[in-house]
Amino acid sequence: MIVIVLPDIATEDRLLAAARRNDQDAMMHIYDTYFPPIYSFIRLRVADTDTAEDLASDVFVRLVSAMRSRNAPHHSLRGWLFRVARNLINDHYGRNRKFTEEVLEEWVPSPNDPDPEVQFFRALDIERVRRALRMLADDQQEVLLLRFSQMLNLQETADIMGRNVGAIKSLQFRAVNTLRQILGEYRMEGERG
Amino acid sequence: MASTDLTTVLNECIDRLSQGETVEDCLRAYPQYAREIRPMLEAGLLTKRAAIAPLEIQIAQERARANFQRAIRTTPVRRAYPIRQVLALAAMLLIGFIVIGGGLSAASQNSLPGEMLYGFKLFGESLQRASSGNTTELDTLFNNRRLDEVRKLLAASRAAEVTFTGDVQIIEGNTWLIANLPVEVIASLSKSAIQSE
Repeated sequence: MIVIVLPDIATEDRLLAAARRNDQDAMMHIYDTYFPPIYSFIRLRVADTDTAEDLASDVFVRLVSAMRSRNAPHHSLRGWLFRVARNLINDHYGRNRKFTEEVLEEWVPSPNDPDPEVQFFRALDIERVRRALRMLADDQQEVLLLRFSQMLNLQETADIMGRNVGAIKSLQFRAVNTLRQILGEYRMEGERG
Repeated sequence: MASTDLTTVLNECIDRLSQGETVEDCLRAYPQYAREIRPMLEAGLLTKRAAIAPLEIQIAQERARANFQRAIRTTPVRRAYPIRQVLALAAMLLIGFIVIGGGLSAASQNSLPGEMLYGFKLFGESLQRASSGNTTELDTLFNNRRLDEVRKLLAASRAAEVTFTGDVQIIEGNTWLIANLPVEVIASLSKSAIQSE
């Protein structure tokens, strides 16, 4: 598992201010720091690696354009980047809506498991989890990725998704339960063999 | 409102996880919700497990780097001036205009016809006349200035062109007295004036 740690807000603001002054070292530093989380965010929602790479690349090309126009972000660089990534994913799916077909594999719970559901989650392979995530509604995928994977706080997530914090709290609650439901269906079908 | 409580507890646990705590730490803080919250947190944490392999990210990052560097090299700077800067510039220009214009206008008040600043004096008067409702009063004031200027020119024995109006008080040959100023007029004008009398 890779853990991507974003810079603290003060460091991020300094980088952003330098980039707005057309400091190329700052721009490259932004690219080196933020490409991994942005690519991961996109890749977990887009199965095709080439498409994910193109979309992630586009996010940073747009950042350069924004920095050289009056659209340059003045605060929350991470919010701006995730927002652009989110819009590009939505545009991509607007053009190429596809649903992944799930092939179930056999899974048999151990009779001694104290919590079979949790044990099942822990035994799932990564690709299966990714496919389950992609079966969620777009906003549910986003909220899980931003909150659990990118570890953004509630306010940052709300800003990126254009909603209030109350709506995000409800959304993340629904998202984890829908994911549980999808995984529960896998489990039931696995048990039926 | 059990679901509202669960929503809040789930949110707080997600915050705790992002600050480095474990699922167990969170469940210890909310033991009454442990049975319901644990599978939710475990399900949510699957998104972390689903993270993309570092090598894949690295390959994508290196391949996309050329696009980014090309964008840095080729994207032109298109800075539209923000409204605040435009207003500040306009205010500075206006202040400059007022200061310079005011200074020139003050300095030109004592200038006489034929001098460099005299044009500013007449321009200032035309602006004053254009912005005033009572032009008759101003015309009288400005005409008196012209007469005063003629007197100063005569006193300094200097020649310059001045336009003024005034009553003809005395006509003696080619020398007329207009507004208490002696004026030499051309012979034909003097002749036609005598004929009309």
